[in-house]
Amino acid sequence: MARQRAAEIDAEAAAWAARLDRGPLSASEQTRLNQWTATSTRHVGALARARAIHHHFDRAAALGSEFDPETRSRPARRQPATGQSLARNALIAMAAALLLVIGVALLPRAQTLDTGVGELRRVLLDDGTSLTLNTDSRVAIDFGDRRRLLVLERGEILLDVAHDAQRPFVVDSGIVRVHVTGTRFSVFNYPDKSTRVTVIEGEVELRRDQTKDSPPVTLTANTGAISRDGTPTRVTQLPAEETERRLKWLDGMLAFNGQTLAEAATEFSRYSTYRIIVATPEVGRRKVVGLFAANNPSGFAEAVALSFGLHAEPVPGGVRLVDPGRH
Amino acid sequence: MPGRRIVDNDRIVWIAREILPHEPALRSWLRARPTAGLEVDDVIQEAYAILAALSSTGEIRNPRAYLFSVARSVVLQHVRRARIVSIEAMAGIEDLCISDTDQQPDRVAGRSQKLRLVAELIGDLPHKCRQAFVLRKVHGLSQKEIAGQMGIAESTVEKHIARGLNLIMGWIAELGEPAEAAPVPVPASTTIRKRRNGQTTRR
Repeated sequence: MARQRAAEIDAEAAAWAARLDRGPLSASEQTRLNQWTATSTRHVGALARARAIHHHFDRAAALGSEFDPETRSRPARRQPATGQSLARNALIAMAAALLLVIGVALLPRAQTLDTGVGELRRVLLDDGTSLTLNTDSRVAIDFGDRRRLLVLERGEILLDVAHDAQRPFVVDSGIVRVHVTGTRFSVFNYPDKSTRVTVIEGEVELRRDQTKDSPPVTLTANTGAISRDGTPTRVTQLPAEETERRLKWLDGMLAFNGQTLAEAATEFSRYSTYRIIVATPEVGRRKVVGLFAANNPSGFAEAVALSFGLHAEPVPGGVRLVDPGRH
Repeated sequence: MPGRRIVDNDRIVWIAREILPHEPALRSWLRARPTAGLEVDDVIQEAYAILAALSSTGEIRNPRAYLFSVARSVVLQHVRRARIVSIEAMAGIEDLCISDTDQQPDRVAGRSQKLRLVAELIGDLPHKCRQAFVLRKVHGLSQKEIAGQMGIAESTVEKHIARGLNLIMGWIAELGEPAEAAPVPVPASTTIRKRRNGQTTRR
């Protein structure tokens, strides 16, 4: 008999551990388990390990009442090399100096969270929803027995909302309210006082206060919407790569695919106080394509200067991009 | 075959508290001393089996050292059983002596760091697995209650728990040294958030 690979044994052990966690076994299940453990000592060991790891997560119960505000002020640290995050780690490592502060903690029910300029923060809410705050953002969380409310006071968040039929999930941006049952989407309060919603998976409904010319709008996957006071919500279908482009900040990167240099410079200004100044509107209209580290604005400025044949002149607190061909 | 196959809960708790935290260090130690024909994962599984089958653990005063000894004996047993004992395997035998430096108790991560790691591992799970885990482990709901809340079958909840557990088992296996030992080197000039002149610091 060929030796079983450890990974296969672990998967079987995890399945048995989950079954044991569910409740007492029937007679036939007990027989099957006895046969499985009798097959090899490695099966016994793998199951003991799986059950021990499962028990280890009873510590998670302690986290429910032990929110540690210090998780945010920890110095910049790398994420542990968990399987799904390895690719993300590679991207971050390629960027210049690591500045992202990533903390995951479970929160009590009513809470305000914020991030500083250049900070990224991911948090697990106690219903299982995953909330990520991008740079310079603030949310107020107010979970009750009948509903789950998040107020986006500032900035941009990504939500992966856990399904709970008893409690609808609402994000209030001050301009629009996003109603969800279970889905993945981002909400972004633009500086020009509009709210941009991007739906990645699932479905959300946008509701406005002025209902007369703003009926509720339903958005499905790969759809975006812009809402501004006084105008109806504008909905756009997004190609999948555009949805992806809008979420690159999760990896600490900014992706541009035809946005103007002026727009790109504004985007970079959200992530640090370094200023990229565009000397003339003509320079600002150049189209940018590429993937850049969000925390390296000077690198971005140098890169575009090179590709557009511009001069990057240092100024206090930043750089000014000038077209040398015109004065 | 060990006499006890289905392990008592008390033993599981002992393993979770006294052995599991040392697994990453043991894996690093084993990786540094490869043995032909034996994978680190295999040694770990065999070691856990031996610990699970012990008649009692009350006498074990240094669980970390004990774990390392058990792993060492697994490797030695494999080397002895191999029909062709390769020169490489024999050459590594003296490396299996456990030095005192491997047994420093202060290298175990502090409690709050361990808890943060727990939260991060849960946070990396896929959507439904994560939800099931949070409901099970943070809120203490039974799998049956979770089924009611998530609107899915009990057997599906069981599958989510199994899948999440399997993922976490794999991630723990990939962990290097305990958190404070050897993270990716961060340049000394790195600053955290606000800078005096607004300029980001380069590598």
